[in-house]
Amino acid sequence: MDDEDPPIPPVTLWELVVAFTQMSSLSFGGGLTAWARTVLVERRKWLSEEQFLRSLAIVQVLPGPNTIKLAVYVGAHLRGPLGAFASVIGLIAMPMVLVLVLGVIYFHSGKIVWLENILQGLGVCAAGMAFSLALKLFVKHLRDPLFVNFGIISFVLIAFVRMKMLPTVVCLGIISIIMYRNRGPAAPRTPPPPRPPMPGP
Amino acid sequence: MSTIPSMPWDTLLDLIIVFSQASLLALGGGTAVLGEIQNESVNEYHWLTGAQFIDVFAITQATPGPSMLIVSLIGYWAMAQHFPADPWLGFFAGVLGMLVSTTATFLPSSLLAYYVGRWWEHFHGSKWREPVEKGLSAVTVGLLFASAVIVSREATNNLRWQAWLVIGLSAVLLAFTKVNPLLLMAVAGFLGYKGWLNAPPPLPLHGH
Repeated sequence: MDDEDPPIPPVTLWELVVAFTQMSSLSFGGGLTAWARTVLVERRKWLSEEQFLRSLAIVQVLPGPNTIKLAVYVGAHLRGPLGAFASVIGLIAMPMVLVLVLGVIYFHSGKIVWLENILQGLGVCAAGMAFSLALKLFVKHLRDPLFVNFGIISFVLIAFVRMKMLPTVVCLGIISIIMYRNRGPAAPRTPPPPRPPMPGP
Repeated sequence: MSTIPSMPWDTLLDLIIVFSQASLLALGGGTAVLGEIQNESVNEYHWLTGAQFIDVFAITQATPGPSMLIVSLIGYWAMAQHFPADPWLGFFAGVLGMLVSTTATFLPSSLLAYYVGRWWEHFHGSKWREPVEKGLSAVTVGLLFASAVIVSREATNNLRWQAWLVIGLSAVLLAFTKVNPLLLMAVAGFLGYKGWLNAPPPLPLHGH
């Protein structure tokens, strides 16, 4: 923790529930992380921009659904363990009820052709969304050969060889971390430092 | 596992095992284990069919909130199916399955975020920090592509090749432009509604 972090604002548990309900209801079609930034940083000013980005970075290293981990981390930062709990409840209560209602209709309604057709279209689009996440991450690291190689190896092992995920992820993860460690803090994406100005003639 | 119908309690236990394990393997977010969840719930445990998997995936993507709520619906149906004769009992069993699956998915990673997250902050200047972050995200990108391929294969099952066009277009548009995902979903839903993605039936049927 940095010393220059602003003091933790007084936040009630109920405010946490409301704020996280707010951001999850705004996230129709995805983009929950962006809404989290809007609500936590811009509207309620509970976190500074840097604090938010740092929380996001920490949370993304750990496994699990990103938005849940963010809720836990931010809730705990603001109000301790109960705050973490309140934030998660706020994040998932409303969507869970909605999903339950739609699920009950879907599972118990039998075969409705037009509904199935719509869902097929939505399913195809959702598959495209899954690809877009992969594409975005891949393109960001395109110039890093280690990244590209490990990405391709894990892709082939899981998608085509259909290896078990647990051993694959553990082994590849360890090898990849060690290789990055040995390569040292190379930063292939950062441009070279600007040249010092030429001395006058 | 497919031929022997297991008892409801066994199903509950299986849900806990499968989803808590998936939670801890979800590097970089829930989408990374979507393929694994599909494989376990459709091919291993037969909690739902491949087509149902895609339908509940579509439902949870189109609704607000974390997309990992797909496990809630898988848990619901895995339990509700045990009571085909009694819809109310099925509903309550389903809600139980839903709560158990959701908790199994969110609890382990939440505990990790709570305890390890604070500890990780102290690694701010550590030499291991960058290798861990980069190394894991390199594996993650492969998992994301694998999930996308597995889900796409299932989503395009029995559809025309044009469905792959919709997948490719929405992937590129969402990755590289600021297009609203809801708009894309609406267009894709409309294409589906019109039946333009459906493969023509193998034999002409009369008196449909």
